[in-house]
Amino acid sequence: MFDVEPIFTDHKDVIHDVVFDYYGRRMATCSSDQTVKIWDEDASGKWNVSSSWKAHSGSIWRVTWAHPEFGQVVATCSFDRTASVWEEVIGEKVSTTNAPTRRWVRRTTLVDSRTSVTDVEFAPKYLGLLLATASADGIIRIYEAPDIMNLSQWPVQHEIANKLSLSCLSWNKSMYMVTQLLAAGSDDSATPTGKVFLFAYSENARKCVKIETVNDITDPVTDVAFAPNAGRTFHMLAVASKDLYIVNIRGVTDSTGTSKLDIQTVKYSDHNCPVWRVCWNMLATMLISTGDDGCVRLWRMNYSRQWRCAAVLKACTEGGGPTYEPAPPTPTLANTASATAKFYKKGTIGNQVPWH
Amino acid sequence: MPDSMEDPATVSLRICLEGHANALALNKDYTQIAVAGRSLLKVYSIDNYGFTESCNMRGGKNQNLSYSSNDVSWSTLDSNLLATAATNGVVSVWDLSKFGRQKQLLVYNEHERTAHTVTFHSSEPNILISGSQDGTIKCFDIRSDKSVNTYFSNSESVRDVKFSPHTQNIFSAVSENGTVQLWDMRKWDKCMVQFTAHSGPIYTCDWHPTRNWLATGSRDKQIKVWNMDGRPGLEYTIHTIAVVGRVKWRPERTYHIASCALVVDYSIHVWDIRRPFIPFASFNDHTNVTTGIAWQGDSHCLLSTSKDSTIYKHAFKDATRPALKANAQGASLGRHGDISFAQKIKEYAVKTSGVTNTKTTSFKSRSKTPVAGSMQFHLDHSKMYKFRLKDVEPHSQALSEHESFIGCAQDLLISGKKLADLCDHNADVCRKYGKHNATTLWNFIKLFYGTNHFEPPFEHRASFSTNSRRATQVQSDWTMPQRGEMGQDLNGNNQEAPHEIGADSSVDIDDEHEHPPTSSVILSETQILSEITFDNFELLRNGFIYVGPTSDVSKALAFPALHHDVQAARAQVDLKANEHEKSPPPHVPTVLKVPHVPIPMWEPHKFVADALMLQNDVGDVQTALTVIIALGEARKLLPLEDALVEHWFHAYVDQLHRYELWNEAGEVINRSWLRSVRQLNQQSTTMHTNCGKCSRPLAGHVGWLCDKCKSMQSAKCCVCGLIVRGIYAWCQGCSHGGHIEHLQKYFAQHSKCPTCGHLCAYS
Repeated sequence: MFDVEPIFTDHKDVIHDVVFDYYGRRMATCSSDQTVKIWDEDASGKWNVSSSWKAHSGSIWRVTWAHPEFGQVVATCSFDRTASVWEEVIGEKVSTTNAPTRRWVRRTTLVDSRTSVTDVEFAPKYLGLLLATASADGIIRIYEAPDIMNLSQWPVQHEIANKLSLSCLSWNKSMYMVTQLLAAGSDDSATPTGKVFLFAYSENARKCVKIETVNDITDPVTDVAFAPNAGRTFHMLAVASKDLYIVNIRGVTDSTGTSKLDIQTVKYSDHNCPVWRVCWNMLATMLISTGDDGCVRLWRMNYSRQWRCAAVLKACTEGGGPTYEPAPPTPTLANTASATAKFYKKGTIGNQVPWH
Repeated sequence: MPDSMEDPATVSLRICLEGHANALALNKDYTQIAVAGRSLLKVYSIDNYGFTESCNMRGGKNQNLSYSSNDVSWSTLDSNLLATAATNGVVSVWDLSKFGRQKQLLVYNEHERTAHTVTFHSSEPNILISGSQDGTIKCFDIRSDKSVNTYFSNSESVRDVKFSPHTQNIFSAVSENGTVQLWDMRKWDKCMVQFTAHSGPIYTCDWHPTRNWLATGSRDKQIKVWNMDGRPGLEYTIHTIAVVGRVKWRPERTYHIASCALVVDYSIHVWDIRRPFIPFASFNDHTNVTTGIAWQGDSHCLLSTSKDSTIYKHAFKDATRPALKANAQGASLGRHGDISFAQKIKEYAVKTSGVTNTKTTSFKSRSKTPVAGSMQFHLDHSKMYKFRLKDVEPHSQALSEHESFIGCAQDLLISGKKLADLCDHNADVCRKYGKHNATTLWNFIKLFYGTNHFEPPFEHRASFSTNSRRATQVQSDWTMPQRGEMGQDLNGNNQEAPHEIGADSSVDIDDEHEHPPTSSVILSETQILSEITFDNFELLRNGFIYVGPTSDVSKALAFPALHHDVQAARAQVDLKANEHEKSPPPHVPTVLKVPHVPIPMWEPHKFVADALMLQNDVGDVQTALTVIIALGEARKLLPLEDALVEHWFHAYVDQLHRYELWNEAGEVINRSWLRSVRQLNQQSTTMHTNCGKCSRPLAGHVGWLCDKCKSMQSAKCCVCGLIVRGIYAWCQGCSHGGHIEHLQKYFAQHSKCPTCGHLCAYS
């Protein structure tokens, strides 16, 4: 069962991204109002803004945390065609609260893109301090801070151009049986071609190249996310598009010794509306996907290795305009007057959708 | 005004120009466009399908600077009159009705420096004003060949002048020092109002067509909207991504304004000033900076010129909507299974305007209810929710994963006991945290490997599979020579001890009788059956345990249905015997109860490995890896690749780190037999040592000899005075120390440092 609790964000415009840090102890939000907010959880489990600053001169699309080994570092990307790296600096203690002042300092601004930078993500820790950006003109750039103590130097390591505009990217978290993979999705709606691409470093070409296109997904893609690899023999990529997809990628070596990728795409059309976001939990046992209708779906894998929708969550506000979904058929958990959560426990194999 | 909705010309068309365009102007009927540039002054007529050149006022010969225009303006009353402002300061008036190529009517060479802007009076057909880099604004009357008035702005440069559409004879002037001035053109000595609007140069201004608002665009990347009633007040501020070059209010839309940038950004953005962060619409067609924009009378067509030598007529319906493409939601899963979810709230227009919402309002529906679409755009905002897990039902263990993960991580034992005890303990732990599959798995592990004897690798079986023996011989069978293995500590502590499986195959059978099998049934049928839930049914079916289809009275499990000798399988008697011989726990009696079931080929180690893989594939690397570690040397029997196990180690350690279970992670790493995993604990710890005498860093080749003071003080025991070899313990407060046993003895009686008297004793 889930409680729902509204969080007052004080963002003046649409929030585009919410991200927990590596430990899940801190949260970053970014918004079209050009600010980033960092949230910390207090003892009672309430989230409070600990820092908020104007980070860009355009909408901020995404925010991402670096591995805590590199310090408290986030990167943001924006409509203003830049991506920035920020580091938290601990100042002197304030006598009244006995807590040190915290402030986020811009370490660098990456200005290579000629168009809106649509996604940014730090690479997994074992690759070092690497940052990948995707931009609306279809270029993926991989930056590296050669000296992890110096966050102001980020030379471009790779630049991969694509024909289609890109909306999202994700690093694979593990290299089991595959080379380091980077997935990117395109929100292009004009062409009927595959919209999810996989990139890897090619020893022959000495550069990053596109090695695979997932041709099963032809609708515009809004989000991709590799699951944290919890020891699985295959890699899972969740794709948010018109429907939710889970792409299983397995590295195989054929008889001639060349390795290639075995890709299986599974489509889940429970949402019945475009899917905006996908997110895995830390153990990679649960996936959430959010639909345009405001429903959050929880997915879990059963013992036949199938993903099944385990729950549907919806928060609706009263008095926030006409409600457009039918009344909840199952018990409603009303804990406050302002917000309610509707929680539907679904059968393990059930495919029924409680509304639509 | 024709309605553009019915107008077929709602497509962008492109024609090439010679040279860069700096400005454009539309005639009063919006049927002709004048384009001016460095070597360019042309008039095109606009139709639904494109542009047709109607007049070219630049011959090839006249290359003097008077023809290099910064700005062009069309008379608001006479469709034949044009004015240009040239880079050399010349303001020219052109008459399109003149015959021949030479259409220049008047030339005012009065500005001392570049003229930036020129504009006609809105009601007086003969009056025009110009602003220049020399800081002056001049007013001309085309009936005279001299300027009528000169207004001194007291700034270096006037960048833009515009007549107010609301008050006769009032014009605004913006300048490079960031000030806005309001002039009455009849009073040239002093401006009416002056205020500082921006922190940088202002490049453009535009009067709102209906309200008394003035918009200004500046190098500080902002567009500001000023209410000019009475004292100018700031109404709205828009932050754009680049230096603002031009702004133009959109007709028929109170809150919309178009802007283009002077550098960097080639797009034209249309903003809703009430939502100052993200453009309402964008036109991204130009391949160089846009230099001039104008609305073609109504709100549906926008004309623009650019340095890429093109003119575009943009249909508004072809504009991209950045806000619609933007991800409207954010969601993240926290460490405790809680979900933070931010969602764009779609505001609905008042009920009379229908149920269309902002996101899907199409061009058509907007033209029916003209304000509906724009009314809602600015209301977009997000609400954020936290879904918190609570009151987990006992059966929905699925949802409280983090608890079972942390609990298991802390409680599971991976060493220190006999494997059977570990399995029992861990099965209990898993049951406690609701991981029933893991419980079953642990029970089987105990069943298979819980004794002190290992099965030899499977290849060896072939040699004795023909040894068909009778069931009564079970007692001695299960310790066949081939299984000879020294009794060994299963907890993995003695990894150094070499185990050469198979090498001991010649051990005398009598030795084996020292280890009689336990007679207790480790896992009773009822116990197993009670744990067969839906979830682990799949596990069962995948071959881990086999439930007989003809479940007889006892519902027997064809449990270690071990036999690979097909010949023997046909003979039921032999089958029984074989099963007894080869099943790892031959003392389980239930095997005999299913004689009629066709028993598949079965390799126990492979099935254990498969079970671990399955456990792992469904996301429980914890159990899989813990089993492997607990198995100790027996893990070598499982057909699992080292690379996979290493992968599991890394995955599990990473998970432990994420939940900040450092001790547990450390223990797992220490238990690893893989070098690459063990190295994880040896990374990124650096110890700096300083000399105990002179406090300088010890950098010499000999660890304890100080290069500076040549003393070995830091290596000596402060109790006995001898150099310490081996473990050196020291006080972190005073840095003195020595042999650990000496210190223990010493501090049993004293509390202060023997050398310096520092209070070292830990209290």
